[in-house]
Amino acid sequence: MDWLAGWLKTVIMVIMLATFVDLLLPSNTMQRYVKTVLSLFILLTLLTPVLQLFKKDWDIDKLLSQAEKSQNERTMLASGGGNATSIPTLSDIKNSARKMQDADGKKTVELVQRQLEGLMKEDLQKQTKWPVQKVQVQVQLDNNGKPAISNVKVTLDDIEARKQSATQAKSIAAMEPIKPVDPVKIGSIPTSHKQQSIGSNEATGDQPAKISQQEVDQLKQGLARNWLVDPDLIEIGVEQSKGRMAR
Amino acid sequence: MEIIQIVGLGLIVTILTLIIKEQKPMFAFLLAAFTGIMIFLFLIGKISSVIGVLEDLAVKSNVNIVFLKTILKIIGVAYIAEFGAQIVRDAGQESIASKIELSGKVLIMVMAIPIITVIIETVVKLLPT
Repeated sequence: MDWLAGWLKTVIMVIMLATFVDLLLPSNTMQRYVKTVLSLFILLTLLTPVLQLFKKDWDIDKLLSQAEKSQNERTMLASGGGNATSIPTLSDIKNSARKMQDADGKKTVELVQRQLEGLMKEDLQKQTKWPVQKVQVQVQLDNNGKPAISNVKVTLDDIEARKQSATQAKSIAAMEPIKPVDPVKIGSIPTSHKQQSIGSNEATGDQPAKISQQEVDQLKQGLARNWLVDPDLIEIGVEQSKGRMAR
Repeated sequence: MEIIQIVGLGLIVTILTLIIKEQKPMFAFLLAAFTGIMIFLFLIGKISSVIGVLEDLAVKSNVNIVFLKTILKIIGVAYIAEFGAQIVRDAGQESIASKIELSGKVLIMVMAIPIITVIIETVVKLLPT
């Protein structure tokens, strides 16, 4: 449309020029001739697009190839947006690789957790008279990508223990090895939260299950020895009949 | 107010011419011709500024510069021919004045020849062969 604007501009300009010249002309004798020439100018200006059309030596092959090229470019642009066939960039590939690695690591951790839970449960069951209800192991990958145990939560079943304690208390007690006497401490023992909660459970339960701090420590030590877990990371709790957790 | 100067000059020269005409008709004619040339030259200075504006406009609106030059030449030819013819006519040589006018017309038409050629060529090309 640029050429149209330019052409119109030229036409208007030439007509204005002709009018001006008409005004400038000194006398009537010259006017007819000058007007003729000016009208020729205006005619030529009006014909300019036609002239250009005929001046250009059109090359059909060139025009066709040009049109094809522009068409191709347009289709390339249109398809470039959402087409899957376009080649992904390096950063995209890296991103997807990282995602895959993360997913892989998560799966590994889950697998390790599950296997450790099963093995630990069996192991614990051998060590204690308390029926082990659940062992929850939390594994985290360290900086080198190796899984390390970050937390172990052992839940002992209280209900089962009560039943068993009624029938097997004596036999288990008989089977238990004699433990060395703990060092006797005289004075006020700092009552920890654990002991308090156990104490409160004893008070509320009608026939309360009892797990002593000593037993808990023993279990912890056993776990720590067999599984090389830091004892601080081990939590041992008793599942109450009401579903509450007590230590 | 240039127009007052010009009109004043014209009036004075007219009176002088009328006075001198009785004794020396030759000087009267020379005076009139000289005054006419003076006024013409004065006006040419003014016309040049108008032409400058026209040229600017033409360049801005992409008018072919050949057009403009031809148009300006035509104006110039018309003015000069007119002026000369009038002076000659004042001297009482009507036939020479008409010859000057004729030459002016012919020159104007000659300047139009290139344009006419182009138009005719275009029309001929447009016609189916």
